[in-house]
Amino acid sequence: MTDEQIRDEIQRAISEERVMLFMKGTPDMPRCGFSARVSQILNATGVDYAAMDILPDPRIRQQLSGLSGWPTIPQLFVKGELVGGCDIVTEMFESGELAQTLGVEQPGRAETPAPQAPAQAPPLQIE
Amino acid sequence: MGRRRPVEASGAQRGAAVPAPDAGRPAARKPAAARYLLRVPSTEEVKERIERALPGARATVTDLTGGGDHLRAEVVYGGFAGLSRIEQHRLVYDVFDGEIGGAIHALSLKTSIEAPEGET
Repeated sequence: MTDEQIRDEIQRAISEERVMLFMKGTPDMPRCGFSARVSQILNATGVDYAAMDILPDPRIRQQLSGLSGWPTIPQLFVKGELVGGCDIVTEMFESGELAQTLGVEQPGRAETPAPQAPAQAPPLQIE
Repeated sequence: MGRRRPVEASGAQRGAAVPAPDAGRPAARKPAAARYLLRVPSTEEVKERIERALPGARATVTDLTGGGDHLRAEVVYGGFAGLSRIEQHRLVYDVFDGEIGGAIHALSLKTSIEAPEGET
């Protein structure tokens, strides 16, 4: 595969996949803690997403970072736009912004029955 | 870690340990292999570089693993105003052009415009 073919493939994935994650390893078998965290967050939101493992060829990462201007992996794209890496995705997940960006319900709210979320103050909480 | 710092020697004693430059025989040359091409910058150095590149910024840099290559930087900078998170992080990453993913395996970032509450 030439560098150009790799770049085209990455470009295609970014523009055609609504939610596209570039990571080390795969969602089932992540090979880096940061990639693992982002794929777990996406799994928690229940969104459909595509993932590409950047490890099989070092040129994937080179071409990706060249396109995105972002030096680290993972990289999450939504509708063709770079959302961020692990720090930003984690922050956005915690604030609820991520669900909004992904166009899904924040897990644990609304129609999801919220299994462990107590309706009001938790009974008997001892510090 | 936990290693006690040696008691500071007085200036005179320290000076005495260093051979004078013209002590008769040529100073031993450092072997070329001692150059670290992928030297890992210290947390202090990372902090200074961020603060130098972004005037007025305050950075707190910690070593997440103790190995020196997984760093976390919390950066408070007025110049982040009006920028998206991505753009804020890019400003900081740009300080270390090419080193992230290399010598610095990971630089975890948290950027903010104002200091978090409770800090001054």
